[in-house]
Amino acid sequence: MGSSVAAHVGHTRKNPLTTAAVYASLLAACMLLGLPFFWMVVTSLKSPHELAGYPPSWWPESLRWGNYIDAWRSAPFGRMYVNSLITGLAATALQVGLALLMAYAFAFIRFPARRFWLLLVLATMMIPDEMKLVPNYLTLSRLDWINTYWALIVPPAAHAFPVFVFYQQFRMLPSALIDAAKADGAGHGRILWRVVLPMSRPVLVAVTLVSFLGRWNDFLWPLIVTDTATMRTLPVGLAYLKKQAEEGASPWHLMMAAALFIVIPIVILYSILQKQFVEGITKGAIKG
Amino acid sequence: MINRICAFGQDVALGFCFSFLVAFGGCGGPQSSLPSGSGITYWRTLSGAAGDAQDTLVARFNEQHPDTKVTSEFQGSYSDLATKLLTAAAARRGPQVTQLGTFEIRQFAKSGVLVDLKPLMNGPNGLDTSGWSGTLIAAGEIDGGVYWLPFNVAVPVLYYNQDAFTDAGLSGPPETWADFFSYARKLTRRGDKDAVQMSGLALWNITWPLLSMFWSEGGELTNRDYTNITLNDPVAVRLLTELQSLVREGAATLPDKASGGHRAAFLSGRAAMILDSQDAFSEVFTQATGFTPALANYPAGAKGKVYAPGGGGLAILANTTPKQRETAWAFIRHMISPESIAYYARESGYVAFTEESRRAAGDLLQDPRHATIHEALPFLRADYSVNMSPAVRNAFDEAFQKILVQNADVQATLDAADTRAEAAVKEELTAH
Repeated sequence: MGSSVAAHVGHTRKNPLTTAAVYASLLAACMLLGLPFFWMVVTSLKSPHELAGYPPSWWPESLRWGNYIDAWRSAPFGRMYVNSLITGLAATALQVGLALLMAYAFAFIRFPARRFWLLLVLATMMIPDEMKLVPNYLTLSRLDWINTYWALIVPPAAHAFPVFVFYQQFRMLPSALIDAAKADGAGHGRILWRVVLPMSRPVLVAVTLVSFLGRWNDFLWPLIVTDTATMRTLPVGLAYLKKQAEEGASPWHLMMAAALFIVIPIVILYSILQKQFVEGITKGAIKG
Repeated sequence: MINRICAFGQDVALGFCFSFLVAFGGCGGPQSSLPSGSGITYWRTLSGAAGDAQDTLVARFNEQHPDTKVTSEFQGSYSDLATKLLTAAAARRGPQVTQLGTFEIRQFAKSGVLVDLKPLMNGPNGLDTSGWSGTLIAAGEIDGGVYWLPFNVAVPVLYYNQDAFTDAGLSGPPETWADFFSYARKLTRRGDKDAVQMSGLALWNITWPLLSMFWSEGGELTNRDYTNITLNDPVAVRLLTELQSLVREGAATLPDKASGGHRAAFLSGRAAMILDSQDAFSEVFTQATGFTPALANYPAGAKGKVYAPGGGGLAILANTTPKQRETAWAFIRHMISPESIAYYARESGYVAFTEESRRAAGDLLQDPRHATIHEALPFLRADYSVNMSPAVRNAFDEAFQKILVQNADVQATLDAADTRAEAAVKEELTAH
C-alpha cells in the first residue's frame, strides 16, 4: 500500500503539466488568501487622500511610514500590548490547563454519569457569548474584578472547545500504553505528563495557538469588563481609531497600520509553530 | 478560596481608592462649591478631535472644581457604549454621567437607567434653554420628563461639486427637493456605451438624511408615542419611488461602506452631490481633489425647511448618589455652557446650537461655509422617534435597503414594513 502511494506520488511529480497546474493552483490560492494582508499593508502606507481615490491604487504614491507612528500615538498601544500579552498568555495557559485535566478525566477516568457530564460541558458551546455577558459581568462585579486582569483572564479560561479537541485526541491514543503506564505504577498526573502529552504535542500546540488567537483578538469581553485605557487590550485600542458612521470616514490608513502591529506577533508565533499547528489540525482529519 | 478572591478584590478596590486619594486628595483650590468627595465618572464615545475636545472640557471642569473630580473614560462607539451601560446598569455600576446616542434614550429612560433631569433644570441651579435652536429641548423628552440633553449636535449639510454644477449649467445648489431630483439627473455624466462616469447623487447608506426630506415635504413616519406608525405615508412612497428611479437610471448610487461609501464617491468625483452632515466638512474640504467642493443646506419641501438633527447628548445615570448628582449636574451644565459648546464646535466640527454659544464661537462663523451650516439650526425638529424604537427603525432601514438595493416595489415594501413595525412596537410598549 505504502509503496503504491509512493509510486503514485513519484509519478505525479514527474508530470510537468500536472506539477505546473498544482503550483499554479497553489499560487492562486496564496494570492487570494494573501490579498487582504497585502491590502492592509498597502493601505497602512497610503495618504488619506489616496484612500478616497478611484479606481483604488495598488501601491502608494509614496510610502508614508509616519502612519505607523501616528497610529501608535492614537491610543496607549504600548500599555495595551503589555495587557494583551499578560492576559492572552495567562488565559491561554489556564484554558489549556483546565481543558487538559477535564479531557483526561473524561477519557481515562471512570466515574458516574461520565457521558452526561461530558455532554453537559460540550453543550455550553451552544450558548452564544453575548448571552453570558450580563451574568458573567454581574459575577465579576460582585467579586470586584471589573477593570482588573482577573476579569480578562479567569472567565475566558472556562471553554468547552479545547476540552472537546483534547478528548477526541486522547480517545485515539492506544489504550495499551495507558494500561502499561498504570501497570508500572504511574499515577494520573504522571500518565498525563509523561505519556499522554508527549503523544498529543501537535494537538496541544494547535489548541494553544487557537486559544491564544481567541484571547488576542477578543474585542467585546475586554471592552465590557474594562473601563480605563490602562487596562485595555489591543483590539479595543483599534476602536480608538474607528469613527462613528456619522462622524465621517475612519482613518483607514491608521487603522490598517494599527491592525498590522496587532497582527505581527500572531504571524511570528504561527511561523514558529506552523509545522506542529498544521499537523495538529490535520491529525483529526486523517485519523477520523 | 472565594474568601481569598473577595479579599483580593477588596484589596484591589482599596488600592484604587488609595491611589485616587493620594493622587488627587492633595491638590485643590478654594473655588469649588461642590460637595467634597463627590467625584464622578464620565463615559464618552467619539474618537479623534471630538474625543480630545471632550477630555479638554473635562480637564477645565476639574480645574474649576478642585474639591471634586470628573474622570473621563472612552468606551468605544455609541453602540459599544450602550452595551456597556446596559451591562453595568444591571450590576449597579458604571458612570454617573454618560454621553449617549439617540437610539437608546427611550429604552434606557423607560428602564429606569437614566435620571429625569427636569427637576434639576427647573431647580436653583437650573438651565436656561430659551436660546436653544429649533426644538432641541424636546429631544430627550419622554413621558413628561427630560432624560437627555443635546451636546454634540449634528445638522444636515448638502455637499456638491461646484465645477460639475457649472458644467451642467446650474447656477447654485437646489432650493427644493423637486430641484434636487432634477439636478441629480442633469449632473449625471455618461461616457462610451452610456456608461455612467459621474452620478448626480451618491446616497448615504443610512436613513437619517431621508427624515429631513420626508418631514419637509409633509410626510410622517411615526408620532412620538407610536400610536400612529405610517412608514407607508404617501410622501415616503413618492420620495422613495423618486430615489429608486434615480438609482435605476444611474443618476444616483448607493455605494456600500466597503467601497468608502457616499463620501468616497463624492471625493473621487464619481458623484456630484451627497446628503451628509457637518461632520464631513473637513474631509470634503481637505481631501477633494480635481474639483471645487461647496456646501449648502438641505433643500426645502412643501412644508419649508424641516431638518432632522443627529449626534449625541448627555445623561445622568440612576446609580448616582445625591452628592454625586450635584456634581453630575454641575458637570452637564459646564459641558453645555456657551463657552464649552463654542469650544467644542471649533474643535470637533459639531454645531454651536445655542444663541450664546454662537456668539462665543464668533470667529468660526466668519467662515461663510460654517455660517451656512449654522443656518440650518432654526429648522431643526428634534424628534428622534424613529431612532428610539428598534421596531420602527429596523423596519424602515430594511425597507430602504430593499427598495434601493434590491429594487423592490416601493408601496408593497413600505406596507409590509409598516405592518411589521406596528406589530413589533406593540411588543416594545408591552415590554416597557
